[in-house]
Amino acid sequence: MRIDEEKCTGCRLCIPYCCGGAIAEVEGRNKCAVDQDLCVECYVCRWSGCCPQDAFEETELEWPRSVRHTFSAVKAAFSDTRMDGRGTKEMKTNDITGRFRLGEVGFTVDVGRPGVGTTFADVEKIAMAVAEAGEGIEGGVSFVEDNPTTRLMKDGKSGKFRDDVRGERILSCILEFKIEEEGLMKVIRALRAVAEEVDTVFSVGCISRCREDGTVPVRAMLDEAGVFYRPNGKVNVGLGRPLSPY
Amino acid sequence: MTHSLHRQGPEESLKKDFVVLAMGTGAGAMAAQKARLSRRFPGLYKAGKAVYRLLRGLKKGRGVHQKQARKGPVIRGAVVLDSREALRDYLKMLKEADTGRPVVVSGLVDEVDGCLREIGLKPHTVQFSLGVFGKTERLPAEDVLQMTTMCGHDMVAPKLVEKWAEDVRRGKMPKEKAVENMARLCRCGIFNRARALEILDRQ
Repeated sequence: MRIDEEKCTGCRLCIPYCCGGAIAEVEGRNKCAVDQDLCVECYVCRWSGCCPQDAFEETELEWPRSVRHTFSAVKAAFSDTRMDGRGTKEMKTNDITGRFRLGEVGFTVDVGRPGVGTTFADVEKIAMAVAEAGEGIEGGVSFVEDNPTTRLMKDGKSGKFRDDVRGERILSCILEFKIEEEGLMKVIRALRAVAEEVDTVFSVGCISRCREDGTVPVRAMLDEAGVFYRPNGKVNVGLGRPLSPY
Repeated sequence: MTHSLHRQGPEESLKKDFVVLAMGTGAGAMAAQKARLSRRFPGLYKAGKAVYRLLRGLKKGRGVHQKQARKGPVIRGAVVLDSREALRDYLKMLKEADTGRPVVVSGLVDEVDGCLREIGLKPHTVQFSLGVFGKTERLPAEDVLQMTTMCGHDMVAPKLVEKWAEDVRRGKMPKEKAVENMARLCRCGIFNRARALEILDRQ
């Protein structure tokens, strides 16, 4: 995204709209400009209509810069998964897909969220840390294939990302993986440790298939380990048909 | 479509904040789903082209709010509800509609569990939020986060929330206008306007 200098009057109305903090006044020129390093190409500045002069202009996004838009805009589809950029169905369709089964724990790690943003270099640090945590557990950490973030990895096991995307800045992306229940605390400890090494924030979700009576196995494990979790979460209510036999 | 898992705020406030999402299905299950929906709702698909429509004339694509949700269940998309009672009634409607679509509720887990059991359902899969890790000193203030996390894609920038909240405090903008401005930026429509008004009232 860029600002057409001819049109910009320097009113600064657009500055607080920027999700990446990339718009600033150019000193001494009474104009605003977009810092191309910080811009995550979410396009909020353009579609919000915040500029009375309509001075925002989309620039052609070539690879790898195009991943910024895919992982920051709402309605940008990722070509491989055909889902909106950051989107993943994770537990939302588990009653049909059986993606997460009894005895397994699923994780979602929203890197850059809420509202801080990230680069894939930090995403890689987190992915490699959890991959390492899975060593010694049967099956290890398994990154979900049907997920746009996984598609940017070199492989589905090591957590390493393609060299050409590592420097790209995005609003957020979702690392999604699962592990056998015995690996729950190893992953949480790894996430706590890598949290000290990254220059961003990440929000962690923990997924558990319920037992036949509707109780949640992982809840007791979190309680026993004294791990904090919020009272609000997401519940798949099991109305999807055909119901998964898992 | 939604990152509604990590909505922030005190429990009292979250008691008025439930998001119900009816999902589309993956390609593998699509044919069976389509056949089922066609039987249940004749005319839902036209001329062989899948047209996702909400029942009784509701538009697709944006979040539907409590008043509209009483008209009928949403086949694909999000509904924002302001109370446990509204959630229970809406889930009952969805159960009876039997659309075959996966349905996910974001909200207080024990409240959701209670609603489900009252209408003869039980949770299939649950996702807990373990909170925010990393450089949390870079986060905005808690009252700002309560607003920004109501947009699942982070499209409501913290500085904007701060600005509009300040405008409301100074009497330069009605709080209803501030909330509408914020909700307009949330393109999935899951920003809870009623709760946002209460948050502004508390500031």
